[in-house]
Amino acid sequence: MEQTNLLEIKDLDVSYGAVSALRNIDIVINKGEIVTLIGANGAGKSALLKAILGLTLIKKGLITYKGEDITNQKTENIVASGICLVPEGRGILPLMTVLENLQLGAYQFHGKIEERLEQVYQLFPILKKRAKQFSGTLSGGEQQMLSIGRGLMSKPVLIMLDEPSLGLAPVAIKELFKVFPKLIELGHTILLSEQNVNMALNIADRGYVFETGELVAAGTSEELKTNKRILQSYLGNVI
Amino acid sequence: MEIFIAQFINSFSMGSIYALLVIGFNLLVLVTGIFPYAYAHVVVFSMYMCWIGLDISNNNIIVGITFAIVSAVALSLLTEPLFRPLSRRGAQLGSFIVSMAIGSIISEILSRNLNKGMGINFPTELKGEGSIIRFGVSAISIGQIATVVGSIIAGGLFFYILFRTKQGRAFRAIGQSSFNARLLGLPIMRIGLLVFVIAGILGGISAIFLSMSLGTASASLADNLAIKIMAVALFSGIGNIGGGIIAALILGLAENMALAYLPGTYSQAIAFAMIMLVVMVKPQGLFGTKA
Repeated sequence: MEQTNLLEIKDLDVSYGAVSALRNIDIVINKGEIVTLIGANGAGKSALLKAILGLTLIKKGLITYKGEDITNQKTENIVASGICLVPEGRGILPLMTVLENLQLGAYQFHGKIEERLEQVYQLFPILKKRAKQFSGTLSGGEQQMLSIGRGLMSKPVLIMLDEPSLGLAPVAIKELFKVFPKLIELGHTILLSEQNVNMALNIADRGYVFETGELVAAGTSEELKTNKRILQSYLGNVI
Repeated sequence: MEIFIAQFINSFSMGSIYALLVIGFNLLVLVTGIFPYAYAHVVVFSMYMCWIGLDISNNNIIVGITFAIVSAVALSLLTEPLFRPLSRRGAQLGSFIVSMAIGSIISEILSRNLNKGMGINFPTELKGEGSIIRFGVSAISIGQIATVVGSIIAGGLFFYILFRTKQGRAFRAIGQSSFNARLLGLPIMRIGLLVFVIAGILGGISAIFLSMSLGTASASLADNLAIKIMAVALFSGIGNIGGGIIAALILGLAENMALAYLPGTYSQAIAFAMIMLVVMVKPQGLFGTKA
């Protein structure tokens, strides 16, 4: 049987000290999918992405990637094995140039950097134009593209994005979301954490709904779009 | 006038040594976040090792240089595990205390166990005083020229690494945001170790130039240097490598001018005056801090 299960999270609990951020989380992500996590601020979506990347200590639960247990592994090893996180707020290094930021993204990549650069420039031509500029001088939308481009430099299998639409103008958000299907075509898998529920459900195959650290709903985008609870809480009961 | 020129070149010589020392110091601050007060002590210890190397090899310079650099790197790596947990927690003040403790241990060893506690003197051939270029009343030694040229080369190499290599980019990235650096999969701990090694190498090179320039070393030299390095680093903005170099040259100049025209050894007072001035007027340092 072909292994389509790329990432699997079982019964995960995450706490920040005494504060519980996630409880009993079960998630599956298959190869080639766009899966979205939706929920309000503080619902635990970021906590999950950070836990996957090994940035927080996990005391209960199991995370397997490509069949291997990566719970509590070192971040550098997790990144090297093909998972990247495009963090909330972009996480770019403002005092370094666009090119330098991209080069840093390839730290764990052992192939030809020029090929990765070419591909990133193809997806985001503006980055080529601004290659020698300090990344702090880029607009919000451009910084977001840089952050994604940087993540792509290591040729990741799974790309995780934490609130990429945050702080972006609607036009920039639309441009950004057009890139996601292209990434799937290139062979990546996407895990997207978003507060913009509309856009998220329009682009994703499946979704998980978070509320104060717990999963309250899961299903395909179509199912979630017609889910009464979600309609009330996030989509403003328009229908 | 000639005195002025001679002192100017002399200042450059000492200034370039201070610059190398501050580069090593600021590198440690930038990447690991610790305050390496005892960096000067490692350097002076390395001077003693250089002296031992020369002693047992009948003044073979290559042996002296090797002893200096190897001992500096070794001592540096020995202290790294002590700083690792502090670095991870971002405990800069705590690291300062730990570093002062390490410094006093090294000073103790220097003033008791090495050369029976007496200061050391380097052979005059090393100072290059035999070959002196004279102009008018004043003179500069080959040793001083070698120091300036050597420092420029070492400094230049360092900047090449910092701005044109993958590791250098990693250093700067961690300096700007260790969280985002970690996110990118940078192996923070391994890079921290590398930084201690590079600081050790720079320290060893500085020790060689100091041996050439000063010709002597003692336990008190370590504390003296430590305060000067601190002054330069705080004056220019701690962690700011480029600013540190400029400040180092300023200190070298100020010190030597003071020596030439004021009575007594005002050098330490000058260093303190620099710190005081900056802390009162612009606490982030003249060129801004990066850590």
